Amino acid sequence: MTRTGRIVTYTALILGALITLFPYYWLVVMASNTTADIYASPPTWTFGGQFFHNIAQVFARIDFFGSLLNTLIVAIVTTLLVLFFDSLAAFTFAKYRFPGSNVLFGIVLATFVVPTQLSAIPQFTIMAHLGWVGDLKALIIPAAANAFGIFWMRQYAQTAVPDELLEAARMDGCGFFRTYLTIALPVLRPALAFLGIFTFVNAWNDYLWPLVVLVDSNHVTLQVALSQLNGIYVKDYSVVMAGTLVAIVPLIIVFLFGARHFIRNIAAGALKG
Amino acid sequence: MATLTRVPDPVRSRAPRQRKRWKYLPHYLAVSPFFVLFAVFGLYPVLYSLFLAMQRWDGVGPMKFVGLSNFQFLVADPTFWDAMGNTLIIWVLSTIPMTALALLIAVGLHSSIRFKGVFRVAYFLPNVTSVVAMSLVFGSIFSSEFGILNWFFGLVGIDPVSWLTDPWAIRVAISIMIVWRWVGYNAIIFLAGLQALPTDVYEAARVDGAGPVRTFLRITLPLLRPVLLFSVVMSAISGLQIFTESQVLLGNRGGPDEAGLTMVLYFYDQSFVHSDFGYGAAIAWGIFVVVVLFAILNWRLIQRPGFLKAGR
Amino acid sequence: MTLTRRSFLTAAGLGVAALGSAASCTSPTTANPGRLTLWYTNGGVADQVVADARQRFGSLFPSQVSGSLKQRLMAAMAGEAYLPDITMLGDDIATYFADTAHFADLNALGAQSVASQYLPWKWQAGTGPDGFQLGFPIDIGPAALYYRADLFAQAGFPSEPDEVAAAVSTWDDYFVFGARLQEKLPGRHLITDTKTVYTYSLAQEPQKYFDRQNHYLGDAPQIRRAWDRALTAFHKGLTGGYAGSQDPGQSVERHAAWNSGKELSFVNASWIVTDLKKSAPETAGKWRVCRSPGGAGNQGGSFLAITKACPNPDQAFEVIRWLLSPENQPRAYLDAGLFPSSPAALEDPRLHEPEPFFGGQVTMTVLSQSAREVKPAYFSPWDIALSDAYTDELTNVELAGKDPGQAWDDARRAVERLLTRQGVL
Repeated sequence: MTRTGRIVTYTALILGALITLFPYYWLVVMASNTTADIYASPPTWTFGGQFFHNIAQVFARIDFFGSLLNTLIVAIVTTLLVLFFDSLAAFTFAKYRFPGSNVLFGIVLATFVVPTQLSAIPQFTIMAHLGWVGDLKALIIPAAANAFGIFWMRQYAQTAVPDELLEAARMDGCGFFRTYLTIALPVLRPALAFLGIFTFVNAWNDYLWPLVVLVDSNHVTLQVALSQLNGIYVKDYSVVMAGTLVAIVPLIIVFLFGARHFIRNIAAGALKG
Repeated sequence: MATLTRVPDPVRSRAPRQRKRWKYLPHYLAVSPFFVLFAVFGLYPVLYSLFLAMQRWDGVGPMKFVGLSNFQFLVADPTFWDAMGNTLIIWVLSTIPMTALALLIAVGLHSSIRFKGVFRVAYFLPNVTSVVAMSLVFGSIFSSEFGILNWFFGLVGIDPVSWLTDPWAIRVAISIMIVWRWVGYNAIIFLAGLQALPTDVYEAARVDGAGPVRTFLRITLPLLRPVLLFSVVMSAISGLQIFTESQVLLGNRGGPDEAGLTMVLYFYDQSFVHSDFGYGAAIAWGIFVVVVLFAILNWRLIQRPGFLKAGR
Repeated sequence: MTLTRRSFLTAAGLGVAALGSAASCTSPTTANPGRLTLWYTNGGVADQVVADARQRFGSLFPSQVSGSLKQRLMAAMAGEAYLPDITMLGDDIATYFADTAHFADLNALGAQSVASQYLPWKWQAGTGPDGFQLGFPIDIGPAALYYRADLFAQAGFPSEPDEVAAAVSTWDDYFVFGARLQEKLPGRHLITDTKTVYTYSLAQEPQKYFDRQNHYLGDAPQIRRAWDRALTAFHKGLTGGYAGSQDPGQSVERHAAWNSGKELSFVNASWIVTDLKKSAPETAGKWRVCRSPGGAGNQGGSFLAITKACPNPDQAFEVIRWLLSPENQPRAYLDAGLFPSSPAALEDPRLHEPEPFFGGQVTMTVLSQSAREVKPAYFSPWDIALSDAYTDELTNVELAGKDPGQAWDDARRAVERLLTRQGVL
């Protein structure tokens, strides 16, 4: 690559990154000032000294760590379940023909398009019958049926899992589940990594359904807890922003931790699509 | 599997059929967890919403059966058509720049530069942040008087834009939020595509003396078609369901002239703010129809022969 | 992330276990059996008072719900499970009149004996059809005119509350006053937006969209009056165009206008003061309050109700009565800005201290007057939707340059469509 080409590329990428990250800078500015500073005319653009005060307020007003733990539980268990159920189903759809498989897959596709907000009330009725209202199970189990995951993984599995290996396994007398465990899973690992992060993030950020079903305000997830910082008549935005910032941090840590591994793998998933 | 020449042995003739049924048992078992969960938590709400769409219900009192009248209202409802238009406009305004930028970023990251990891994290970060959380930040950025965007415009001599009150500016503002959120995600997908391209084609092109731009247009893009189209189709399905960005920036009505009112926001407004659950359910089904049609349109485009083949 | 087979089998085990434990129990109808669950929005009931109530009533279990309390309540009512025993209801309480079967009639629990302790119009607002007492008043939102006395004085205009009240006793006077004021102070606006004018004009009328028998009043003069007033304000250039300032995305402009003095005055219910103090502390001492042009009106305010799921309604009523008693309401005002709904509370000397934020004025004098003078108007279940239809079109005229005649027609048509769909028309 030529020298000018390199300079141009670096400049463009750095500029793009700065623009992308600017909202986070603004977030920290807001979290470190008072609400009055945010609304001042003109508003402050630099960091203030209220950062720790605001964060202390966040911890004082809501059960941050309790709700963080709840969110972690929900996100992790949901992700594991989704990865298991979806990879199993996707592998089956991808590599095996059985009666009704097309119809069933068609149903999977159709479920994409139903707006999720619609199901809040009937879902609550179901949860009431099952006795899961207020329980984290109500968040985990419905989310384990993830249509997007099956769609994504089927795309990937179709090309990634070599038919010859499957044939060889069948010859060797491997049953279906053994084939899945020994052959499909290792090959599907990159797609699993992507789906894992996707599911984890969605579970982490989910707001409406947890709000409706976790009726005990002392036992909620992080996003719902954060929304409790908003009052009915007044919103103390600097504290809300501080709460937002603190809520992002665990996610960023998890992400940075797995980023390299994840990003390397995410590629393959879409590529085989 | 029993052939005609074999004498039908009672035990034998039963076995092949059993074996056939048994043969598929693991497959059904494998897909059943999803379908069981879906039947309970996915199908029932969907059927319930269909039932609900034929009722008049405010969430509190008794339900009243009204047949198809909600759907009749929907078809004649100018607000719904506006919402559909808005959704499509926002989709176009966001998907095209997003795809182009994602492509450019991917090309940049694919080249021989350092700190790739840092860039990738930076660009992907918006995708893992919740939109609700960033709403005030964007409200501040888009502020007519004090927002940084208008400050920047002032620097270069452009008039300030009323991002949150002018109808077209509203749509652009929402699109900017969407682009911000999804560029990194798609860039990484494209990057993957680029990394998997065969290098010998590039060797040949270089030997032939093709410059970087020509190489990009004539070779890279066509080879990336499948990945590109996958990205477009996925964003078609999710993009038509934009809701949070509009709601947090402009409230439940979508702002002046309802410029930011998307279909799902209209559904939310009718169901949960105005407690007209029957009509809300009808709107949800209207959305379903629109998205399915749009998705089929895109799918047809992909299936067209020649699209999946690499370029000339 | 190493995804081993073991982790998958664990997940499978978890999944099966979870599904297995599912089938057994059904949910209790009440949220926390054995205790009295109270649902309220953050800031809707004074925290201190709630804390004291917990001391006094051991079985009380308060639960703060963020903004979407209504959605959660509806889900609970639809599923007939996990209902709170006591719940807060907003000023859209009329939407619950349709099915009072979900709630307990407070009259049956002795509410009549305390009814006289509360402002009659507010008590009436919580009364459903056939005299079913659904809601117990928490707070109200008496409207008043808040203005920047320093800027008025700077421009050589009257700035003391009594003088200003006399000068702007009607909306027309207010507009004339404002036009002259804006000439002296260019770049600033007298009024927030057309939505405010419309809302607070309508709040002053004895009738809104429906009569008490839920008959639609159709093309009523008060609607046209409020509409025309809002448009007049717009055409005279008095409005600042801050519509939508309650949403986070758009709140920046308006709050900045408070700080910079771009917003010279606004008519609003009293609950805005907490926000004002928090967002614009630098302007302390510069604001005053006086009677709103056109007189008294109310906007907002909440109630507490007891649901049918409550196993011990008498106990629940005791809690409500204590929480919202005239003795406790002054504290709620001082701590949380919840304007008392009880006349006795309004007389409490603690509320009649001079307030530094308002330059030493005793704002309670003006506000309590407004509170007492509110005309008892009927607030139907469809009022909010109808008001939204009109104010949306007003916003279109104000911010999107729509033709006013067209806007009026569109608003009417939207209203008709809505009411036909709801089966009212």
